[in-house]
Amino acid sequence: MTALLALAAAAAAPFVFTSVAHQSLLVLIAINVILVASLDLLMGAAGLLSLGHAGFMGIGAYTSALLVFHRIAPFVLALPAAALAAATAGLFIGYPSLRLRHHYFVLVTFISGIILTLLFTSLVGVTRGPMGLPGIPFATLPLPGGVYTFNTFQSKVAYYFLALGLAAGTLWLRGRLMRGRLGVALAMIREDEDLAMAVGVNTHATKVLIFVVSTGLAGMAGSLYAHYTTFLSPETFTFVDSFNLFVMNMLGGAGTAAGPVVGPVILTVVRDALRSISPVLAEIAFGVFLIAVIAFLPAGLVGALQARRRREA
Amino acid sequence: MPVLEVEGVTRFFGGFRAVGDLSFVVQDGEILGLVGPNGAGKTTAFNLITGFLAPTAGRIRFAGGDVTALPPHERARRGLVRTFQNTKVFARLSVEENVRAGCFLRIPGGIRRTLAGLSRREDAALRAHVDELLDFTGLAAQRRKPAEDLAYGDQRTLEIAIALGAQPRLLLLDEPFAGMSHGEADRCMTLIHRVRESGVTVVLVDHHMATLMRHCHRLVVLHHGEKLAEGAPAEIQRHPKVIETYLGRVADA
Repeated sequence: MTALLALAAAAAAPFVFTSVAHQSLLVLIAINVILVASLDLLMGAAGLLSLGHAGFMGIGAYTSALLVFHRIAPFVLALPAAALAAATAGLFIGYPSLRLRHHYFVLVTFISGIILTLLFTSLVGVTRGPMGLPGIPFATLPLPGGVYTFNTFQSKVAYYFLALGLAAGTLWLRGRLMRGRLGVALAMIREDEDLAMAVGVNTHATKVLIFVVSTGLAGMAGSLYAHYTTFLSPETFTFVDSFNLFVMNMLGGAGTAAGPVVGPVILTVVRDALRSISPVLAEIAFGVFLIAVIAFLPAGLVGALQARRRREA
Repeated sequence: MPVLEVEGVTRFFGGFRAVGDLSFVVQDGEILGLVGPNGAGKTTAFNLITGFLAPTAGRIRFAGGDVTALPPHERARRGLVRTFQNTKVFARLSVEENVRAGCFLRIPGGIRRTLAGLSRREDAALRAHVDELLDFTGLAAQRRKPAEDLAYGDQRTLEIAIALGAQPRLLLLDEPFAGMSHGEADRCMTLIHRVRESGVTVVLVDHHMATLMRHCHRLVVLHHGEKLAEGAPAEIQRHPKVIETYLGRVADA
């Protein structure tokens, strides 16, 4: 019920915020919701902290952009291909590294993210490296009446609904995964991995599976991002971006149902508001804001509200 | 009929031999005690049997099959289930969720169920089983509590309830009475007897010779990683090597 109300509010948002700047924020929020929801499959559900998530988003973004740019595949195929490419990278990185636990694993994700950024920068023949990749075609959708082009320079509303749809789908999938057998296994891994093994959970395979799903969804978000901005640069997929996703997840509340929505919305809005006041002071103020969140709301906004409700009940 | 056969199992940590050439069998339906002073290699032996450590040499057979190379979860699937010395429960999950998690192997999986959820019948069957285990272990009244809020003795009971969820054929309990009051230990032992009566073979690891003597059908005594003695409590009590190790050599004079 709450989810439906939130979806209705999200659908009404572009008609309330009609300025281009605001609608642009809405699209970015929707993409960030996908990223944070996918990251939360690791952080919230399995207790696996990944600091390289933006790298997998980058794989999806470049895959999709290049496929459409070189006319190898249309957007509708490039989007799943982007997810597949990022998921494949997730499999190769996750399979060996998920044998590690705790901060060792975190370190591998951190280094993986940095290596991916380096690849985007140094594979100049493919990605154009630091020069960036401009002129990425808009997303297209084959409809009965002809091919529809999401010209995001003219209007962002249609693309917002595409991103919103995929974000809602991601949240739905996350909810489903959490409720079933996989969700039980992930909760056990988060709480006590040895005990999970002792009652029959193949913890390594389970962690690899959720890592692949998570990185695949990040790749899908990357594709959405590429055809929205129509320009890619390695600077978009750095450690800082991974860290931002982590903070959004923390802020919303890792492992909570509404966290992956609340985090991106608040962070994007606060950041934009700070920038409009003073671009120089914004980053500092933002840093202070983050420290305050971590110090006072370690369970995130949604987590803190839930704890309060539980106390009152 | 043996459920578990440990054959010449050895484990080195670097140059230190924690367990050396250990062999014993666990018979179907018995309560076997694995006893020895601290540092005797009990926990290492326990980890080797359950797959949390790989042996340097030797074989472990369970229910007729060689499980030496199998990871812990595969052994659990075959019915070899353990608890831990330092109480392990899923701390932030409720008691009920803990037991449900223990029943993981009973939860039907597959992509269809993941996306559409369990059928009403499947869910009801799972719930019924969880209820049964909560009643069996006497935790039903506290089912909504987070596991971390339980009294210590109840946490250890919950550990057993989680393990039972995995439908063990052999349940290995690592120092289940550690840190318990007499009353708690008695209640725990009553539960263990009921577990055995329900058809589960039990291995208890402890360093309290007296407790194990009272409750086990047979004992395996470890010392410096080797088997010192094996037999019924009465035999162990009279065993010269055990007396020597535990009480010291009787003076000549």
